[in-house]
Amino acid sequence: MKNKKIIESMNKIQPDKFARNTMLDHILNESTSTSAEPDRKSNKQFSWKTYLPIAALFALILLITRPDLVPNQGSNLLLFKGNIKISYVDKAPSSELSASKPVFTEEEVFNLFDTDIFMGTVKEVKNIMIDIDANTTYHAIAKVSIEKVYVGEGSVGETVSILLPGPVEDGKIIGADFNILPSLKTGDKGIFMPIKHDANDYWSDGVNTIPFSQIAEYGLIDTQHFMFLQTTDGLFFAKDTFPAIKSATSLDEIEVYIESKIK
Amino acid sequence: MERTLPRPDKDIVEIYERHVNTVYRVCFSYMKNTIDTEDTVQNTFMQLVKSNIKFVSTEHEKAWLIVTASNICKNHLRHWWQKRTNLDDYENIKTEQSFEIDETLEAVMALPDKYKSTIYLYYYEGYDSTEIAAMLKKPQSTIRNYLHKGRNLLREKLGGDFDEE
Repeated sequence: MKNKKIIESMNKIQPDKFARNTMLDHILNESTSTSAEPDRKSNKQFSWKTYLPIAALFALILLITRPDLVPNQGSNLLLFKGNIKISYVDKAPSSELSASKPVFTEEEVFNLFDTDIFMGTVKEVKNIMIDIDANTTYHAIAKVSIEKVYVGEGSVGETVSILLPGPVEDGKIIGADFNILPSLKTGDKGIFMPIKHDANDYWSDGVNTIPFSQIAEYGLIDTQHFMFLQTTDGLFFAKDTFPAIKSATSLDEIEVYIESKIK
Repeated sequence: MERTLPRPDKDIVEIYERHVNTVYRVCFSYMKNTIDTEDTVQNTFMQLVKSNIKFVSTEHEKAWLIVTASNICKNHLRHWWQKRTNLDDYENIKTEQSFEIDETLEAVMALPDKYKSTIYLYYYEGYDSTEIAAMLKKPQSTIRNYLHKGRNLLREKLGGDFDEE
């Protein structure tokens, strides 16, 4: 069954001519580059048995002659594969880079993603640097000890790691989202709504991939809508998105609200 | 093993012309701004370029694009922070859409995702609940329930303006 009002309204959503042509150009360029890409799978079957001894010998020579070129020598390297490097860093530099932050409504926060929901205390938070083909971005990993579970498979007493969308700073505001994130620190208590990482969550350099799950079981989509944080400076969350708890001052009030939303 | 030939540009252009507005609508309902909508529309068709899928009809084509676009949008929202650009670049980008968002559209877009997709597929695209259940991989009873709840929410917001015709 069709609805006249919905059809009339929806019909208005369409790209203008310029956008339509630009998008098609990009798609066709991608099509050309995809078909021009050499077939990565060689006709000849690759045999590890043939190349492993050569690779081992090369690695040994490199280790003896140029130890400075071998990764993880005294660095904070966490993971590395191909052109992707993930390292711990003490401090993330102030960045002029920002991402276009999506606007989430209250309904979307609770319905668009399958988030776990739990209350917990931050036990540790460390910044990390992701370097892909020499392009770097900064994030943080928070270890949170779970104290109460509202949705999900986590259990009380368990400590889980959560990948944060930006780095933790000293109260500095970086980019669009990071006005809550910088103040996150050990000892803060909050209600977290992270997503459990799955096969769709990974970093890629085009050839190699590192799944997010190798560094954290969970990820926060953003820290304003998917985290309610009690700090020494007060309770932080996107108050405009949640009118029912706009004046809340304690996590107890947030808990009552969360429980009403997940009924 | 036989290697699949890439989809010819002529086919891509034809599919694009047939469905770009549908894909754009789906993407805009998630992304709510033209920049991210255009990105996700392109990614949807690029997925088509890379895919070996053979469509049996234009309906099959459309259904595949709608589902792929929805998945790409959700994935984009999960990882919005991965795409970073210089702040200065944003100043020169046109973020306002060239079309008007009326009361009905605003009400549909504000629906929770599961109701919004179902309402859109049913009332705009004209799929029945069996077809929607197959597309979204949900039981038919769930889809009927989504339709019922989505319809009630629209009635609450639009009152008599939301009529079933």
